Parts: sequence; structure tokens; C-alpha cells
Amino acid sequence: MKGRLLSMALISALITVGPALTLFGQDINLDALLERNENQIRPTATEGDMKMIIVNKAGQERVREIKAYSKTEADDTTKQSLIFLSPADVRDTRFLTIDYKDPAKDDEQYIYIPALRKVRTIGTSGGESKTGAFLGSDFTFADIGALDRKDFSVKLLGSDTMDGIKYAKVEYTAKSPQVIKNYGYSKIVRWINLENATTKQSEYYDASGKLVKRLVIQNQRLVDGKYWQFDTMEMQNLETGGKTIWQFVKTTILPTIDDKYFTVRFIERGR
Amino acid sequence: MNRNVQHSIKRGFSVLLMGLALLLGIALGAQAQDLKLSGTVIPSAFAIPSQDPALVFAGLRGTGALEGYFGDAVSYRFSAETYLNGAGLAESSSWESSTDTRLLSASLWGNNRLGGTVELKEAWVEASLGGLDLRLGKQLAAWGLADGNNPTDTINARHQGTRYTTTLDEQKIASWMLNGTYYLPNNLGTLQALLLPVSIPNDLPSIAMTILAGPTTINIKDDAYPDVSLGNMEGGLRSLWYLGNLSVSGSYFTYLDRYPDFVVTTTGFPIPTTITYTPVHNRIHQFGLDAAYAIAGYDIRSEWALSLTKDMEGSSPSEKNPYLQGVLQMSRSFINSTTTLSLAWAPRYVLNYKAPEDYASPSDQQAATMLRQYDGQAYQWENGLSLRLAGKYLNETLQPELLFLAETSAKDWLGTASVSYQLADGISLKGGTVQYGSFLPEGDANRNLGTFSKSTTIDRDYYYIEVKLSF
Repeated sequence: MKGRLLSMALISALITVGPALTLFGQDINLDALLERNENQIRPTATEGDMKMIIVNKAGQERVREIKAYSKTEADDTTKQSLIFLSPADVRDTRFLTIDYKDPAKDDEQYIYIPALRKVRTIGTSGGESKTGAFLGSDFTFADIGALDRKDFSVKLLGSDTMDGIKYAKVEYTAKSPQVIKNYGYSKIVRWINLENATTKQSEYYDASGKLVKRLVIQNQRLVDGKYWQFDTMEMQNLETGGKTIWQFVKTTILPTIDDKYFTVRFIERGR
Repeated sequence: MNRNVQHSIKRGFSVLLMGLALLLGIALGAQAQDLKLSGTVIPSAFAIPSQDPALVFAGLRGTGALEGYFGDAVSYRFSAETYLNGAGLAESSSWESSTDTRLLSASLWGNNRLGGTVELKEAWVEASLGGLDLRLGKQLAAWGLADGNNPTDTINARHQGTRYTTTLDEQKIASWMLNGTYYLPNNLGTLQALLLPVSIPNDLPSIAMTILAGPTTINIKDDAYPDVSLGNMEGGLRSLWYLGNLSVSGSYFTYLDRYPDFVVTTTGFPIPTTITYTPVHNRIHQFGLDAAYAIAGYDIRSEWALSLTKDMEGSSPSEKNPYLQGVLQMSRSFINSTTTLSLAWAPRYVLNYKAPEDYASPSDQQAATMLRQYDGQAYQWENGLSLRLAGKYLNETLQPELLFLAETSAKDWLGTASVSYQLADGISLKGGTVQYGSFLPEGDANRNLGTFSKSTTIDRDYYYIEVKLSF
């Protein structure tokens, strides 16, 4: 009797846990984890000061100071504008990106180039221009934008532990050659925190399957009891030996922000 | 340097400095926010090996700008530009100074060469009223969605062949204008209107000369500014639309030709004893259309300008015919977008074209023969074909560029090569060369009909090096 009850309990547990349960006893529900990862609660609005430090193989640094504004709309559309404050070579270069949650709408990216005194749009639905380096850094324009899960086949590789914290190792494989062209990667492997569903690390593989970049996020913390933020994001370029570090020097969470910061006019005028 | 020259220079600089100090005082006194001082200092050298002396420019180019805001609704910018050339001045035995009240500049000439100039380049104030920005003052404007070759970008005149510079901003001459831009909601685009009360033509090398042709003396007078009058005002409208991957704009601009036509007067009959060519800037009505589209990794840009001139019928040999000018560019990037290859076709079609022999009178034929070297309308069809290869390597610190452009009717070509390297933040080193050539044999008179192969350019291949310090 006792044995039958145990078997029935085990079968019931197997049915209710979900489709991601593996034979190795890992209790990871991949769909749920990815949902939480992609839908992290974001502040309605933020204003921040950042530094982008580009380090070459020889250890020489170039530092860019950036002012950033962000907004998350009720429909989860995210808007971000970046204003480069220094050094003089890139000062007044301004960047606007709008990522729509609605898959029917193309994302928008604009850049104001002071030397030309013009705003240019950056190819939104495809095109190698998005795989180009973002202002000389090891991030591409595609890296700055959002990853769309529908462009990838997603697979759980297993779990991993780093600094005593457990992560799910998730592989995103490009579904088509066009997706590889759009993002510049054939595969991305992410380490996602099992407890809070934040991304700790990502590894990027080029079209030939070679590991070319690694993104590491450091000093994550919970702010106001609900928002996960981090101090540093480091993109290591494994091909060149260089890296780019984004430091979030100061981030202020705002209850609201004027929509004017996310317009072509703002990046053209700077105000 | 004589005392009068010294006095003129001092007066010119004093005026400029007092003006800047006054503006700075106003800005500070009004508790302006975000006051920003910026600029560049560019020591550079240009050499033309075929000339004697070969070194034609060794000196400083520089800019300084002061800009700020009064709250969010009002902004301003004042910038000055300098161009100081020490090459050849050690041998100067004659000095001249000049001031230009239209450009707000003061210049010093030694041995008929520009030794230095200081100009208040930009001086404008902008007020924002809802979605409308109104900018008033001396300013630069940029039209056109194509890269590098913008047929519709005729708002500002340029220094053409009078200065050794490497940036578009340095080539452009700021104009006095009222510039109103309305930003459409949801980043749909802009509507822009311009009003320019003062016309400024291109700054060209002097064309004044006297030619003795048998019994006839031909005088070509130097160019001059058009009068400031209601009839000489300029203005335009442009609408620009952002439609996802497609950007498109349409424009209209009416202005006085930046290059001169000529009024021809003769004395003496039946054989003229004197023929005088007086430069004049006739009105052009320019209709523009341009677009940029990104698809499947290709960046496609096109820009077209239909210019309707005073001589719509093409009956005068000394006035330009109407013409259509355009460019179609296709670019693609490779190797993680570090390397970009661009191909372009840039045609120019002259409406109601007449070859010199098509004119009825010998004097018109003579005028047409002489002027076709200068008016850019020697051929009814001219096709420019170009190839550009540009790279951004080592986190964009190293940027080489190669450009080759050929014209199929004139059978001439232009080649440029440059490399810039970012030594540190705010410091870059750049070197390059510009080469002119012709596919026509040496001695062929048609070489003078080309853009790059005429006698004033073909032997002026030059090399340059500069260090740009930005603050």
C-alpha cells in the first residue's frame, strides 16, 4: 500500500512539474524561467550616468561618458536614449532606440552624427548595419537592442554554479541564415539565475560556430525591492583580446519621464 | 608689415573679440545652463610636389564654439573658425588685410596668398515652441540623405579651391538665415522652412584676367557678392519622413547660383576691341528628391536635384542651362561591418544643351568655347562612377579609406586615399593624398573640359598630414 502510494505520488509530481524536467532530476521549467527572464520588472523610467570603457589588447583605455534615459511603456515597449558627453571626438553623438513588444512593429534605431549634422536611421528589420560595432566598442547595435526569442530555437543545456549561485545554461540557436545575418551570431548561450531569472553571463558564437565574445554582468542587486540592477556589464572580445566595460555610475529610478527624451528631435537638439 | 595693415588687423580682431566677450557676458549674466566650450586645433601641412615651392600650407586650422541653453526652450551657439598658413610667408614682401562684413571675418594676405583668416562662423539663437524650433542667425544647414555627394545640399556656399581643409564643415560657409523645423509626432519626420536674406556665393579662386586675342582684349572681371535686396533673397522647404527602413525627403530651394554666370559686353565693331565678362549670380529653382533604404544588408541611397536656371531655353552661351543631377549609391559592409564597400553612379544631364558650334554667331561660339571649361556643362551627359572602400579597425581607432571616381564623358578621374588613427581620446592623426588624372593623352585640348583634368587641377596632386586635437 505504502509502495503504491509512493509511486502514485511520484507520478503525480512528474505530471505537475512540467515539460522541462530531465531524467537527471533537474527541476527547471525552461519556459517559465525564460518568461521571467524576458519580463523582468523594469522601472517605468530611469535617468543615469554611465561610462563605456574600451580596453584594447595592450590594456590601453578609452573612456566615454554617457547620459542615458529609459522608459518602459504600459505595453512593455522600451525606449532608450544615450547621449555621449565625452571625449570630444564623440561628444554630442546621440542614439535613440525603441523596442516594440508588438512583433508586428519594427523596432526603431536612430543615431545623430554631429560631423554630418544629420540623423540616420539604423536598419531595423535585418541588415548588417546592426551587426556593426556600437561606436567603436565591442558591443554591436544588435547587442544594444533586445533578443527576440522567436528568431531562435531554445534548449536547456543543463545547470551551472558560479560563486555559489546556481544558473540554468540555455542555448539560443539561430533558426535561419537570415537570423544569423541580423544578429551576427549563430548561437548564444546564456546563464540565467534560477532564483531571480536574471542573466549573469552570455557567450556569443559567430556564423562558423566559433566562440567570439563573452558578456559578464557583475554586482547585481535588488533595488526598491523589485528592480534588478547591476553595476557593470563587460563584453570580452575573445578574437581581439580587448573588452568593453559599461559602468552604471548612477541610476535614478523615476516615477515618470517626459516622452520628449525619446524623439528624433531630442537627439538632434540635445535637449 | 605696414602700419595700416597692422591697424586693420588689430581692429578686425578687436571687433571679433569684443563681440564674443559681450555674448559670453550675456550668457553668463543670464545664468545660462549647460554652458559648453568646445573646439579643435589642427596643425597640418599640405604639399603639392609639382609646384615650386612644394609646401603650400603649413599652419593651424581651428574652431572654437560656445553653446548653451536658457532652460529647455532656448539655445544658442557661437563658433569661430581660424585658418593660419605660414607656408611661404617668410619671403613675403607685401601684405594686405581685408574684412568681410557678410562673413564677419578678417583676413591677412601675403604675396597674394591667404596667410590667415578668423571668422565668426556660427552665431545663432534657437527658440522652441511646442514641436517647432526656430533658429535665427548665421548657421550651417545640411540637406540630403546620400553619403558624401549631396546634389540638394546647396544652402551653404563653400570654399572651393581656396583653402586646404579635410572636413565638410570647414569647406562650408555659414549663411544668415531663419530656419524653422517642425518635428512630426511619433518620430515620423520633419517639415522645414528656410529664409536667407543674404546670398553668399562660393569662395572661388580669382578668375580675373586679361587675354589678348589679336585685336581683341578679353577682360574677365572678378566675382562679387550679389546685392542685398528683396529680389535676391533665398528660401526653401523640405519634408523628411522616417518610414521604418525607408527615409525619404522632398525639397524645394530657390537661391542665387553659387557659381557665376557671365554678362558679356562688347565694344568695337565690326571686330570687337574689348569683350568683358562680368560674373553674375542668377537665380536657380531647385527641386530635390532623396531616399535611403536598408534591405538585406545593403544600404541604398539616392538623391536628385532638378535645377531650373535663368536660361531655360539654353540660348545664352554665358548662362547655365537647366540641369538634372543625381547620385545612386549602394553600400555593403563585411567582416562584422568593419569594412564597407560603396558603389555610386552620379549622372548629370544638361537640358537644351548646345555645343559651341551650334550657336549662330561667332562671338557666341567663342564665348561658349571659353566658358564650357568653367560652367560644368561641357557635355550634355556626364556620368560619374565611383568606388569607395572604407574600414574601421581596432575598435574604430584605425580608419583607412580609398575612393576612386571617374567621369565617362570628360574621361578624367580623381583618386583619394587617407588613413586616420586615434592616438588617444581627443587626439587623432590623419594623412592622405588626392590625385587627379585623365584618360585623354597629354596635350589633348578636351582635358580642360573635365572636372579633375583641367590645367588648374591636373598638376595639383597633393599630400597632407594633420594632427587633430579636440577639446
